[in-house]
Amino acid sequence: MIPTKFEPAPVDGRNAAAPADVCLVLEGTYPYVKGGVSTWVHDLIASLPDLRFALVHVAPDRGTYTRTLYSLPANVVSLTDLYCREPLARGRDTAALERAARAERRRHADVLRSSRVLHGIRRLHLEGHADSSLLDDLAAGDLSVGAFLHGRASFELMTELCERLAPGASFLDFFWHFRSMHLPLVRLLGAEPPAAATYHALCTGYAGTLAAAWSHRTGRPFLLTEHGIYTRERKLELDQAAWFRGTRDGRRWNGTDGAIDSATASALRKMWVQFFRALARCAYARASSVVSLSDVSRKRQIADGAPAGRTLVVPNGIDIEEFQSRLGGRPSQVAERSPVRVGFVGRLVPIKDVVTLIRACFLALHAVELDVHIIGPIDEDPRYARRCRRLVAKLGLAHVIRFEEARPIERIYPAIDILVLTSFSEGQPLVILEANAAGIPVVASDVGSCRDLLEGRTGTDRRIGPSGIVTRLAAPEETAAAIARLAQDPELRRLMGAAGQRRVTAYYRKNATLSTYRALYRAGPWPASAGASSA
Amino acid sequence: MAGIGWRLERLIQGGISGAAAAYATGAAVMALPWVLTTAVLISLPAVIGRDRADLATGGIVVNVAYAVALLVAGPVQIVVSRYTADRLYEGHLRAIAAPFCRGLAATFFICVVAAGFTLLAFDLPLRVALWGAALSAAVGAQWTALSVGNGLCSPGLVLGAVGAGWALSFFLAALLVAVAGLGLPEYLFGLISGQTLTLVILLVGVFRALPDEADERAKLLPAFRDYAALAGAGLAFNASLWVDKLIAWALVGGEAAAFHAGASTIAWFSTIPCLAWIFVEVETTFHRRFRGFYRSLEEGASLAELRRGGRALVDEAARLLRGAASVQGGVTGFLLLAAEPLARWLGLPPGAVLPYRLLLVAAGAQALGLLGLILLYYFDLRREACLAATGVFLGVAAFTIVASRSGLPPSLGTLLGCSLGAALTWHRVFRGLSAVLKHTLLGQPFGAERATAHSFTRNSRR
Repeated sequence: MIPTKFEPAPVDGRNAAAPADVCLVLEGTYPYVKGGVSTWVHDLIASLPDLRFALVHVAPDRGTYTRTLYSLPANVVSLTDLYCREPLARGRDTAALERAARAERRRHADVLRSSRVLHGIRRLHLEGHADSSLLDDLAAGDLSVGAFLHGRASFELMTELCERLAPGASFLDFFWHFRSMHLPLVRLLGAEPPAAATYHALCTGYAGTLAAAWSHRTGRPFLLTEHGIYTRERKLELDQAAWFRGTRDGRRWNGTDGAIDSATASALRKMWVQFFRALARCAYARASSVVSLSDVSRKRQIADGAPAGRTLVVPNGIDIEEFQSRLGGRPSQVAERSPVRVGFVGRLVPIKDVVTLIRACFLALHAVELDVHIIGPIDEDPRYARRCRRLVAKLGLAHVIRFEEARPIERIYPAIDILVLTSFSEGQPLVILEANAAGIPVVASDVGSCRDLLEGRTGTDRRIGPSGIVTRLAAPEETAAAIARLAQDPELRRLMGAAGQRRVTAYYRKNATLSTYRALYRAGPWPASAGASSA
Repeated sequence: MAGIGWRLERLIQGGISGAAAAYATGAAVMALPWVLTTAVLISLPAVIGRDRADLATGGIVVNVAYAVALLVAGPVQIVVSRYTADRLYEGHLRAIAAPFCRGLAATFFICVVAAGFTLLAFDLPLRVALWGAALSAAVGAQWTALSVGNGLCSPGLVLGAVGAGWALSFFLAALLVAVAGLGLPEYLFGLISGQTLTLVILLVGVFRALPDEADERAKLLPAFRDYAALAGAGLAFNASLWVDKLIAWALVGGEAAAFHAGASTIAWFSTIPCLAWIFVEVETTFHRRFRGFYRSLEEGASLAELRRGGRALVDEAARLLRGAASVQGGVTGFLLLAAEPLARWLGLPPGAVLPYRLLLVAAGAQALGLLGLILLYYFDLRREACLAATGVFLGVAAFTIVASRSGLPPSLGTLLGCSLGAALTWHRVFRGLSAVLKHTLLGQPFGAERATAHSFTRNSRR
């Protein structure tokens, strides 16, 4: 349940009573998920030991994440979990839920008074801009879950939105999607903010809107950092979502398949995308600084409504000396080795498009001998992991491609010659920085700041030379050609590896990143002039 | 009850005799309790003999037995039939038998205890009280079985069970008392035998329709919690049919109260054609429209289409109201005109004509109110149904009290109460139906494992 009064849970008896310096609002990441963003957050907190951090984690429901995967640094004073919904009820719980729904229905059936949050939701869908009055509405937090699910005002808003946004769609599907879409927002906005000097969200979406609302409510500054572009990632997910693909056109409804017709799917997909864009506009409108990791992402943020004057690029950095000491103090040696060792390092999830990597290796194997290691946690999306394994088996590559658990970097980079990253979406992948720092060339899809990292951001940077090959998205032939080219040419690998090391050393140092964030956290109160952002 | 509609339609399509059987089934299901009670009470003097000392005792026993059965069985019937309808809809027939048996047993037990203690409170001998308790239990269990049987069994079986039981009741009662010269207990034995025969036939029909294997874990008790408002509605409506007589006895007494009670009982017979028409129309045409609306919701209708469907439901309810009013109006009009000749034929004094005429109209209003309540049950407007039935009860009680206290005929108060109750019930029906989509969707829980469209119709059916 969302606490009506925020009560941060102290970590290991640490004193949570005093206000934190920074309240990090996280969604589906640290400390419950292993990955680039989580590692970044962990490093940031651990590297700023003089600042006190309160962590607020937004999860889909109580059962999604059950254990922390990181040991929290000593300067984390509290960790609070907020949930978008309750777990699905089963058996007797279902009957209890039905009774509770009827009771709530009775309670809210004749309540005519609308709420400011509902008004805010209406504006999110129908207005193309976000301003402080919209945040006023959302931050009011005057809508209970019961009133949202069972109230008359909520139903009237739903019908108005259906008429205006999806008049030809199945109303039943619209109804469930309307609930699914807004319930997390209603629950989260009902939570009281923890006391903190600064609110810092790591994405837009629900967590970003929550942090913006808290900042608005308390008058404290709000900092937004986007590693990937949340709206873009959600759009990619929606394009691939099974519940939008399996339409029931021409089939009779059987009540269980969950399929929807194509017209409804199209309208609902559009509505979801617009909703996430609207949430992003809210976060951008409130943020004192909108940070991205690359120019590409920054331009996208501006296109999505971020005020250009408040955007800035803060690339990630790594501690080169510490990194190389962990690798044994020597860069990876390029040798004429066969088979050539290809590595993927990351979570086995759809957004990483490991399927393209596998297909690319299959094609490249026609030209070169490879030994492929897919290294990373596989438990986040077991279905996708199974799909990848099935594809490997189907292509007869089980002896070439191995799935391996995550392990310390000193046991990863010395064991690979080429790093491949075929993601659909990335911010600024830490693995590319690490691979380059280890002198390993990279083949990466053209997303996020991959091109900047491999070819250089500025003229001076570009003169260092490429540290890898950039390919189009979901293009296995192109990725295969790049892998084969690097595998067949040790000298090219050596040159690119060396360029990568020079680039990381010159432009991607961790100290610079930390100094920038320390300055942002201490930037002072919210500027009075800040306020509006247009779509 | 779900499941009867197609059988009725098949009967109606079979020609005049089939249609007659369909309407007779409707009459049996909707009016059997009243017809039977009245028939027993009217036949009592003829069977026992006007000069017999135990005539008054017999009247008390029969009245109490049927009244207790009605009050107890009414709510249980609603819960059991609703539970059965839900399981039928889900295709979970194995979960019907055990809870049905428990419902029967509960009815049996409560009727025995309530009727037994009530009769003892009238200072009747223990032996007579026990026979009365047994009669109440047999009748209550039979009505509960009827509420389930009319959905699971063929109309022919239902009619056969009722007809056979009725015939046996009167035949045995008359044989044992009038021919053999035995006393009241034997008369009651005769009645009980017939009621038990009906019960047995219905049980055989119900269990034949159910699978051999029963789910013993299925529970009825939660259904009482879920459908408490519907059960309350049943109780309040049944009570509204009795309360005016009790008030007339308590406040007016004497001949006026007797005229009121007698006229009320006879006037209720006028509703039988209307109730039969209601049963057939609701279970056929209206049920099709109702299902059509929810099917379109489940199959992906747009908001505009659903709004049109909602308006069609309101129109259909209005058509039902007009139809029922027409049937009832025809019967009432005829009986109003025939009131004086009828009173002369029955040997009643002229003073009995006015209460009879007033109560004829009141009965018509009450039948229309009952139709409204049925529609509220259909759409799962439980609270509305409970409030409407309570409104009818309070209206009848209050206006009858006011009329009795003011020196007016209590029948006038009853008429006003019934009319106002029916009007308020229909106001709730139209208000509920005009917001049927909102009501259906906003009542849906969020987070249930199978939050599919199944839940709508399951929760929105009588």
